[in-house]
Amino acid sequence: MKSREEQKADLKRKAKKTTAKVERLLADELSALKEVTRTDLEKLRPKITDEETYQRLIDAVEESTRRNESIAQLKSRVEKLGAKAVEIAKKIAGLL
Amino acid sequence: MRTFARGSSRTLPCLMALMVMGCASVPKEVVELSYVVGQDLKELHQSYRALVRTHFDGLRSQTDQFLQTRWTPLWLKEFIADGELIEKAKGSDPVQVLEDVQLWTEVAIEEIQDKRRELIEPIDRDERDLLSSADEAFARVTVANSTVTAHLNSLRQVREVQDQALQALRLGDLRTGITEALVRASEKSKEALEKLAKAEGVVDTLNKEKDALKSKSKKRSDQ
Repeated sequence: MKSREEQKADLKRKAKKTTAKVERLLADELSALKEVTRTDLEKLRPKITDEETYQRLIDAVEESTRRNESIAQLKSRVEKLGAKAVEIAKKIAGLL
Repeated sequence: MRTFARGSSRTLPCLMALMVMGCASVPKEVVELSYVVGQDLKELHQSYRALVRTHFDGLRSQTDQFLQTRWTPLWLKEFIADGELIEKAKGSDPVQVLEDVQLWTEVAIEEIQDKRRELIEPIDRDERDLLSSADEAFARVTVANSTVTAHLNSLRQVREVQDQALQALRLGDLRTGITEALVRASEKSKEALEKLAKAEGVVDTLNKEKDALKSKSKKRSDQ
């Protein structure tokens, strides 16, 4: 008496043979199906500028943004220096 | 006075250059537009993903239909014979019959699922590949756009600081004056270029007429 596992292995072998037979019988249809379900990925893939170029440009713009933000903080920095400094700055402005 | 004049001769050109450089106007709508583009990019990305998924769902559906209507019925018909299902079902021991039929069913289901996996997996792989490419591309463009938005915003902030500084120096109207002068100069140069183009056309016509007259008089003299 064969064990359940041995019986299953026998049936599996038979199932594989059946599959091979069906593959031959439906060869043309299977080939047509694979053809229509194949996607031309290169045609659909977005072709944008390479990452290195993007990174180089982004780095340059970010550096410039940092400089601008530093200038934009000038007013608050001057104010932080205190009322005395603002007063002196106004006097200097008046001299020009 | 002399000191001021000497100092201003160096300072003024620098100041003017600084102002002219900072003259280009940066309306708040520029930042807003760039931000809106960033938001819409997200929508386009989602729409592109949905389109890709719809395409691959269609391919999976076509494959399932083939499996259900063509492959599975034929395979079952063949395996009923090859796997001796009828013989097993006719056994004398009902418990053994149940176990045999259960085992047969288990193997049949596994084999059908294997076939489905074999046909569907390449479609799933293509879908993952394409979605990953699209995600990468949209992420790159989105980051670049955010960088531009942040930069435009910083330009506006600089402009505000410059305006405040110019007001403190009582030169508030100077920047507007320079901007307007530059706009006028640009418009005038455009008009001048248009006039030049027209004049060029007139000269061409005159040259052609001159050539025609020359050839006519040559013909007469030859006769």
